[in-house]
Amino acid sequence: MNDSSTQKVRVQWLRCTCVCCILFSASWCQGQIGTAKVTVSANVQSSIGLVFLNNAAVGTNGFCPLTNAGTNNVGLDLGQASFTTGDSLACVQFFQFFGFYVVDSAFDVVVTKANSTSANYQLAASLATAPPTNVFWTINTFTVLSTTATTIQNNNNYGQRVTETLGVVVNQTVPAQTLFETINFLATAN
Amino acid sequence: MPPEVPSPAISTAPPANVTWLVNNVALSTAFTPLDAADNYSQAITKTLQVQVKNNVPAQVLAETVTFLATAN
Repeated sequence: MNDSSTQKVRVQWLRCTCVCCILFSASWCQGQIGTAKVTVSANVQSSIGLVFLNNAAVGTNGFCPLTNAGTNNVGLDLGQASFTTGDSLACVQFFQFFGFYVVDSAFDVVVTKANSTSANYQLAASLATAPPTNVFWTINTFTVLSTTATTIQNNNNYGQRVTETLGVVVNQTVPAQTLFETINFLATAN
Repeated sequence: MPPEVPSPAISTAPPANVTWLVNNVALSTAFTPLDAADNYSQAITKTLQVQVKNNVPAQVLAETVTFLATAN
């Protein structure tokens, strides 16, 4: 073998070696991995929610429809009433006693819980503002409401409808006027 | 430039009815591939989520999520 052919073999060998290196390094890169960590925390808090629903008997006497039923902010129209003529709405229950008249209507309350071990709940209600003299707002006929929370029930079950009757008792001496009241219901987990 | 394959995994199994997710893909303690061919040097937005059922007791949920990128 002369010098030129030896050099040719060397060059070819060098080329071959380079190609091998490139191929090896390319295959070596494939499958390389990198890792990174994210440490994260979240706080699961217990909660309860309250909604008002129309009673199954809605539309019949004593069960007027709520506006915005299914939410926690509803309206209830008790119509126009007088001691002598009764109430303008058929769904309102009306009766008189000892110089007073009463208009009332019932609806349902449902309280649900989430992420809580509470077994049951307490329900209370209060008036936003004091009513005029000789006007009384009541729940379930016998519980007179005031601007401080009054407990209605102590051990209601979650997820079950509880029917509450909201009434207003008006003395016949009360001047004609619009009675408007906001009633806050408060559910407290036991 | 070859693409990469990011795969997250959580360090410990979460409590019952709690699921950690990335881009709506549930994670486990094994690496879960998210994307098959992402480009190097480009920011990719991932949304880390935790799904909690309403019967899960109140507690602190802590987790370490490891992301693994593998060169293609």
